Amino acid sequence: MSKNLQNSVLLDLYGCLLTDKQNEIMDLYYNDDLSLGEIAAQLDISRQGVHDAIKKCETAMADYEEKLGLLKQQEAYLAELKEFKAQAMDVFNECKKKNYARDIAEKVIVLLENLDSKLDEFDNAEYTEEE
Amino acid sequence: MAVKIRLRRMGAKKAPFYRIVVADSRYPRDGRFIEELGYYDPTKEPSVLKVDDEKAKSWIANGAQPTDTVKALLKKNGTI
Repeated sequence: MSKNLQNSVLLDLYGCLLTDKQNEIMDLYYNDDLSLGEIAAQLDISRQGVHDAIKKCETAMADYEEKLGLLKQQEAYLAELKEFKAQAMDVFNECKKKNYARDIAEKVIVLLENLDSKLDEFDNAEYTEEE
Repeated sequence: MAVKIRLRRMGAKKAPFYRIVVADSRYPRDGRFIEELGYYDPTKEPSVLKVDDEKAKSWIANGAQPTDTVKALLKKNGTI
C-alpha cells in the first residue's frame, strides 16, 4: 500500500469530521509517515486494525470531497487569487508609467497587499528558507 | 536502535511541506530527529524534491530504513 500524500491535504480539510482516534491514526500515518506496524505498536492495537481504520477514513474523506468539494474549491480559490494578483500587477505597472496615476498606484498597492496576505496562506517558502 | 528515514509534515493547512529526516523509530512524535536530509514540496508544479544524496546514501548503507514513501521519492530522484 503506497501512501498518497494528497490524503494529508484532505485530512486538513475533513479531519474534524473524523473521530479523535481516527484523526490520530491518520495523522501518524500521513503527517509523520509511520508504518502500519509502528502505529499498531504505539497505540497498542493490531496492524490489521490500523489498516482497516485508514482505509475507512480514506473512503470517508473521498466521499466528503465528492459531496462537499472543499479541496476543489480551495484550488479554484487559489487560481482566482493568482489571476487577481496578475491583473492588479498589470494596473500597477501601467500606473508607474504616468505621474498623474500615483493616487491609483497607491490604491493598487493596498489591493496587492490584501492579495498577498491571502496568497501567503498558500505559501510554504518559510520552511525552505530556514535551512 | 532502529533508525528510520521518514517524511515529516511541516507547513500550514493550505501549504503542505515535508522534511525528509533521519529519526529514531522509538521517538516518532516528539519532533526530535537526528539529521535533516532535505525536503519535499508537493505544492510546486512540478513538485520539488531536494535531498542530500551523499548523506542519504551513507545513512542507508549504515542500516537506516527509509519508509516506502521516502524510498519512492529517493528512487524518483535517482538517489537509490
